Amino acid sequence: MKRLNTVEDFKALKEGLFRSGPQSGRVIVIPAGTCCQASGANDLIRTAKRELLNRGLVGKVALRITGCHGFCQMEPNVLIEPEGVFYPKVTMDNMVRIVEAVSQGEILEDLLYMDPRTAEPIQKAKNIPFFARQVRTILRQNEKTDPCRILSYIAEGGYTALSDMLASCKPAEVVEAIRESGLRGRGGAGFPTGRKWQMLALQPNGDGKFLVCNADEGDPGAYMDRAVLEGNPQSIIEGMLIGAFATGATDGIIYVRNEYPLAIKNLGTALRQARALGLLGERIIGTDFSFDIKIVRGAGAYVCGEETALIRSVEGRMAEPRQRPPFPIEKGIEGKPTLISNVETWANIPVILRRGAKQFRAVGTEDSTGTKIFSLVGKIRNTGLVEVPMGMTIAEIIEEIGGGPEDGVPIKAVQTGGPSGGCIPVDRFDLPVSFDGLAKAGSIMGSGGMIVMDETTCMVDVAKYFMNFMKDESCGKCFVCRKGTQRMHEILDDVSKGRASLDQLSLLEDLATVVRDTSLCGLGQLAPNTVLGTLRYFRDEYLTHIEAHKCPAHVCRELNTYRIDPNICVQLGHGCGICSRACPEKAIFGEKNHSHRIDLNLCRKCGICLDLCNFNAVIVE
Amino acid sequence: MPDFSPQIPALDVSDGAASGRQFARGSYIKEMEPKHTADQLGICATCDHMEYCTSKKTWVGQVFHCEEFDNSGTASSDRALEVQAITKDESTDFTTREKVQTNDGICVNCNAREHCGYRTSKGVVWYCEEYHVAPLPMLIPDTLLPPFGLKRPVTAEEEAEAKKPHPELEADDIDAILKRQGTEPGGLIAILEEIQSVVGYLPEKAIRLVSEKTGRSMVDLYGIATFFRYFSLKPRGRHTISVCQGTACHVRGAPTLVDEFKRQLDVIPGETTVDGVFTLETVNCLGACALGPIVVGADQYFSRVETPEVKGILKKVQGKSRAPDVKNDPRFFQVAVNCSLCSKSLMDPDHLIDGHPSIQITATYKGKQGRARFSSLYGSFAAEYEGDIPVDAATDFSCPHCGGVLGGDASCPECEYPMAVMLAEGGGLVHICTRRNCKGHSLDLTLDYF
Repeated sequence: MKRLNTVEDFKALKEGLFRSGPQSGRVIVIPAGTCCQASGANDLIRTAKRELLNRGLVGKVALRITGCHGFCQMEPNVLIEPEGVFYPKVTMDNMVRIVEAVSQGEILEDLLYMDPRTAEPIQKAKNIPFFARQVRTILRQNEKTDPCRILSYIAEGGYTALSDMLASCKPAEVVEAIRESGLRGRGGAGFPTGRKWQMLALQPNGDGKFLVCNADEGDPGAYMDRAVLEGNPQSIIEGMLIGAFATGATDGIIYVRNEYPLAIKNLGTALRQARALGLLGERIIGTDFSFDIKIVRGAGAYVCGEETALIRSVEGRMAEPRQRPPFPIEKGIEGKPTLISNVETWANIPVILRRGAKQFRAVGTEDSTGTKIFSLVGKIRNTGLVEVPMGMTIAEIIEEIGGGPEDGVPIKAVQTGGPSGGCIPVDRFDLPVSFDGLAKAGSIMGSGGMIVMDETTCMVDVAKYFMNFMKDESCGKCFVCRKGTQRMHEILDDVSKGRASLDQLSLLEDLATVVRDTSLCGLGQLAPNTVLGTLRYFRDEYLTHIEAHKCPAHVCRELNTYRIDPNICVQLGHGCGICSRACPEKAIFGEKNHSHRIDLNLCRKCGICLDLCNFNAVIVE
Repeated sequence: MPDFSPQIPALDVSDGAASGRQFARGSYIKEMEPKHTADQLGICATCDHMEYCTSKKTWVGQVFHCEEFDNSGTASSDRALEVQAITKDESTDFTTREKVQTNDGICVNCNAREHCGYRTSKGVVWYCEEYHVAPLPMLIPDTLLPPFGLKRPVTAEEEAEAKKPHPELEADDIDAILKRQGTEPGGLIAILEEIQSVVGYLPEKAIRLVSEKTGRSMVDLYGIATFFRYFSLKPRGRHTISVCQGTACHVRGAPTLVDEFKRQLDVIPGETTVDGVFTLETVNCLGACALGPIVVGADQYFSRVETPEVKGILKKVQGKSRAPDVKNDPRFFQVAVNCSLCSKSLMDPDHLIDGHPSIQITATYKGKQGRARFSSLYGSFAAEYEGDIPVDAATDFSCPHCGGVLGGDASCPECEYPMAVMLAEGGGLVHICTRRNCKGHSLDLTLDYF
């Protein structure tokens, strides 16, 4: 690849990319993000390559390997362009058939997606309800871009915003465009990005300024950033370049968590390719503008999602947050002005410059413009990543896009905002998702995790799970958070094991408010949210645990009683004895062809018998 | 209503050095610390809160200090340990050993008790800088394994492998790492990450070397090593099994999976199996939430795992160390290549690798030339090098016909070394990393059609 020395070079390169496509005009698109690979996408890719080579189709049918498209429930899936034919859950054998069909211009009806509501096959992805209701500003790019080829990003319009900006804009104009767009930070806090840029631009330039992309994504259950990092790393690089030009920043850092190895790899490739082309580094596209980005890896600490902790981690110290003011924008890494933004925020920047601030504002609500990617997971039929305009109601997301409950078990609540968020019960699903929309129910939108829970989820267990997470991730610096999360977890543990009293419940509420009001950083301040949320809407579950010593969802195992239905065991199972052989406490007695029974004094309530019984003879109460 | 009071069998745990020591254990302790003797358990041995402690759940190893420690004399007569009290008569130099009941807090099982200069006759000690317990051995004799331990079949080669000493890092290795990462303060975490990726954990020796060479104090380095979850100060097993504990995986039953792994491997998260083959870890969200519950082993992701599949996963992860069946697996297929400069075929039908003609090129290293051959099966990394080219050396690949260098501008995504480029028969490009033993390669059929 030849280095670009002028803006004209870039334009010529881009124009040169728009030549005729493969002979048949068809492209086989295979998403291969981490979750896609976990489902077997690699085997599909190999099969496709083998078939293309052996059938002499190279140059006639194109192959594009991309990042996640978002419909994870249907992975590994294949998309055929230009028609947009969607094949879900493809096997290696079916892949062979698909390659054959594509070369003939045919569609395989028996492999198409079946809409569970109508039992009709749907050919094109855009007609599938999961996709139809989304506004895929960012995620569509994942379908079109090969993350390991910068030219594919340029062919789709990438770096055009940067090039146009360098040719004709002044830094202040760029800041103004971002302000006008109304973009707010997508990491959870929702601070107006334009204002942040303006604040950084006003900082003195002397020693240098930092731009940081926060790719730590610590919220368990949220993986929107991973999809963008793996699938379209160049968009983040372009976003940061635009930001550096607008604010005068000199150094860029992408802080990415260690648990995302593919993201790290693709980011590395993207940075190298951008440098080789002259789009990053010294004298970008031959102008006076210089900026470079390096990758800093996390090492497994949720608190590094917090600004000041992240800064300390970048400095090579223990990641303990500190008091603010002074804010990072004035004194950040090495005491220099630092601007930290989330991955999705950066990915929106080139979009704003390409389309214009007004068009960006046209989507979403007055105070929350643009789209937001959510990870819709848990007890829902269509799990995956969804990108919707701000202001869409939770009900629409869960019913229309998510397809409703998974096994027909009614949905009870949805957890938004991860461990720092709260749960929203089903009767408030009419609330819109936006920065302020969910506050009415006592929750936050957060970074975009949306965990759906149904009647088989125990809300006490959920609160305990999140408190355990926060307790482990608490850095330990301030007493209130360190001890408070620990004590709250102990109380929740007692509740889940039927050992708690009502006094402990009021103590839990007191503790929650104290920790919320007096912790040093966001981790502690938001940690009690799940407890307060579940207490607000699901108090009855807590009371059942405390007073009746029972868990309505049968999740808290110590409160369960396991017994074997004698009729089922004998008539269907013929006393097969699998359970008694597997029981670690040797608590199940019985002989072949006779009903087995569980000795409750020995039973450890591990649930192995329930998992292993092939006849559903084990009853939980 | 069932009886929920915890069962507290008095368990006699004795070994040669501490004969006569008895202490009561809750069933909770039994689940967590089946292999530790009273000697090794740390201050938890005498703590009143052991049955209900939720802090110790995932901490593996010995606890020397805890804000929660409580061994007040009044409430815990059953926590009293019977120990040997040793008194030395100054005049005669004669030592008397007698058994006494004591609940003196942490002193009870402190190994430094004999020579302690701080002993006072009353009061319970809750914290002491001199507190000392026996170190945990890596391999524990069979006699101390719990009775219900499931003995997983371990092959002889695995046992030998597990008993091999772990790779050590010498000063030169540390120098090389520091050169790559730089010695600025910000790079410290990256340095430790690289050490762990080579050795599998952070040995004390390596940390000391880093401290000497960077000028950072041991306190700082240990602070970082213990603050971040990724780092391990203890050697890890050959295969690490990570069970995702993200929210989505949690509501789909991840805790049950963890319990099953604990049962099958007989370890708790953070610990390594006795034979050194597996380390069990829990991870806070891998970001593949739609496929939960997720288990990762040997870089392989297992999705939608159910409890009965655990055994199969362990087998698969172990089996990963055996070579894949390249001859019969349809995912390995032959690709014939030509020189990207003169277009002549690079295939050698007389020299087969994996049962197919091999790809032959000339490899040059430091002026010396030799033949190198690669398997033409896409996905097989079998390679044969003639000549004295060291492992990990970057070489120049050239065509044996025209002599031209098969270079390009692609960098290896695995190691960032340059890759050599060849034309694939049928269309497309083949890239192979020029660093010996690196697995970086690609078969690029996309050409210019994105």
